[in-house]
Amino acid sequence: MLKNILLSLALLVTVAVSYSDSHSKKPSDSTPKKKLYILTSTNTLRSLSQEIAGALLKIESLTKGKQDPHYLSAKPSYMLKANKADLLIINGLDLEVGWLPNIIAGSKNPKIQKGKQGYLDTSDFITALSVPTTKVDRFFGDIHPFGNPHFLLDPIRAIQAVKAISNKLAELDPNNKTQYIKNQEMFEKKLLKKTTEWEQRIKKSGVKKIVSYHSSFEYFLDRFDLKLTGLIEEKPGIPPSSKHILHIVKKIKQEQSFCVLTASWYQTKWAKKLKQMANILVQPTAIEVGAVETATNYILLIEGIVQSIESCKAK
Amino acid sequence: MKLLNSLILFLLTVNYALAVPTKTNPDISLNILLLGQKSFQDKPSEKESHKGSAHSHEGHQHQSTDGVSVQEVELYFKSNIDPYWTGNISLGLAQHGSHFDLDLETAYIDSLFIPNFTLRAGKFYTFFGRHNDLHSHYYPFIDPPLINQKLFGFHGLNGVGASIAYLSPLPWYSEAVIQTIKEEHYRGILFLKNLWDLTDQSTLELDLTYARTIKELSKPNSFSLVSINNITNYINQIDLWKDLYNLSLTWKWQDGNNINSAVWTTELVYSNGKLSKQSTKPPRGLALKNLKPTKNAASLNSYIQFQLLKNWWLQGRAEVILDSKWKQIELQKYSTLLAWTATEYSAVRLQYDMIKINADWSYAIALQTNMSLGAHPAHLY
Repeated sequence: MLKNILLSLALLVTVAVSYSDSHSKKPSDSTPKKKLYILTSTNTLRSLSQEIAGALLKIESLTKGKQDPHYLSAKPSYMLKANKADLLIINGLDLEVGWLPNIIAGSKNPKIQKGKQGYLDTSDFITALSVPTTKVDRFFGDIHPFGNPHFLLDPIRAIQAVKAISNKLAELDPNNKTQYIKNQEMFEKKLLKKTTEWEQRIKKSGVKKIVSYHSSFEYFLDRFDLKLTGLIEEKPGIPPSSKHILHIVKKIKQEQSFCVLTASWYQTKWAKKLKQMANILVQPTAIEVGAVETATNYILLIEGIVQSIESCKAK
Repeated sequence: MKLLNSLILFLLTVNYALAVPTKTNPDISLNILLLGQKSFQDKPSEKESHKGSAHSHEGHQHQSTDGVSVQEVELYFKSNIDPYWTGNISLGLAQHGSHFDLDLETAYIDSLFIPNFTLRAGKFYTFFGRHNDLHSHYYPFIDPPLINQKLFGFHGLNGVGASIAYLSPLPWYSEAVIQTIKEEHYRGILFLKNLWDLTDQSTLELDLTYARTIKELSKPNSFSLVSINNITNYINQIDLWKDLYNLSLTWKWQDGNNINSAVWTTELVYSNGKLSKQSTKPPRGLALKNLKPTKNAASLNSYIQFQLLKNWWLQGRAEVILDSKWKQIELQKYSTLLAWTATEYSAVRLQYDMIKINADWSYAIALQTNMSLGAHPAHLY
């Protein structure tokens, strides 16, 4: 009986390996071309990839815009999507570390394993901020040991990510290489122009300091020469205590820094406290494409943050 | 001396693992489960009282685990080996009465190179229903379901063997797994997992398992024992099953940002046939007083978990084990659990159990702390 089972297993392995070989063969020229299927970890990456690919590719995101990409559940249905993907594009810097490894492992898709041609980590192409220089542990909260992962809120770093995406798409789909490069150049030009406009508007607003809930805006602040007064959360992933809120309120008043931004998915219990204690209004702001209805693409996402800052001044 | 050697080896491994952080190191995590518990019992009948005083079974000495203990310390390594294989190793250090046992829980490799298939070889927990392949820090309750303890004992259905998993091209998630292992005897397992997205936030999972003892071994392996919820001091031998069937159904709902969620799982287990040889394998957890190995047994367990706030969970579980004719309830157990998870890396859980074995009621209260150090573990769904 055992011998039969082992023989059956061996037969299955042989069939599986043969299937793998046939699966990995390139289709002949006569095979009708199927659209490549691109899976992104975040909705912002989906939007950026769409700028390059247009309607040439099918692109989907695992996280919806309204979901915090730190905390997705590795649903088996996501593994099914990953199983069919020709390319997986991730943010990286451990933003997805709590869920993506299980999805990649469960996908049973050799193409999108780390280091393979169908795996693109966009953080490999940018310079990260807040990379710990000393030993860190979780006393400091849910810290990212390779640096702050929210780099896509800096339009210039987003351009670097888009270039990496464009190059990868050209590599996987050489027939449309010219189109991808053309789209990438157009998008870069458009984004550079908008960045100059956003710089001018932020300067005009007179806002120089920001308070935020999580360190989501670090790259944005760095790009637009804004300073961070403080963070509402005590440490990454650790909700604020009353004592910490009192400390932040004191700092806000001392530094006259009344512009408080938060990602739209964070709990607002603390925001009510700020309102009660010091009449400080908090601006829930989209930090992912699709997090609010108006942030339908990357440019509108950044536009929304700039408008939030402008409205701080207006108050 | 054995204890000292085990501890030294374990500490050296932990020290090496956590002290050499390089980019090529595997992901390493250490999980610590500490447990305090107290059990109470209604007056047992004279017959039961007499039986309960017997502490020895096939050479094993069993003690009450009331009090404070190290339920388990688990060291876990995970890394890709090369572009074709990934490796997983977990070592468990568990308190066994007054001393500790070091145990290789899992050591296996998974293939990465075959589309839609995963080959696995090594020592691993097999897929059997919802619970068997979980490591102890992922258990929904402090202890495993009674039927798992009764059938598989301390180590679960875990052994050295091989498996092949196939992800089907069906429109919903459907995975079939064939596994064969050598543990106490040679076992073969067929597992089919199906999951449907009902909405963006809710899923329904239907798992079917069939397990068979393929070949009996005349000299079964011996296993160490730790009892995590030992109501009495009496340990009975586990069921010597020939064929097992499991059907489990799970509905799960989660809001978009993991602040509120609910899970409802119901599992039906049926065992048929009894092996000829005696087992030395003791059960894990609850002492199954007066439950003799039977030719047939059936069990139903159902639990519900509510994540009330981001950090708070309230849970309830009901379990029954029926006699071989499915007419009489031999054992029933009801558990409630309240958990506070300060962060993803630490939790404190309080569990209250009511157990009725034949005519006697027992009660237990347990407090567990669950701490994780090291690499961020990806969450299971």
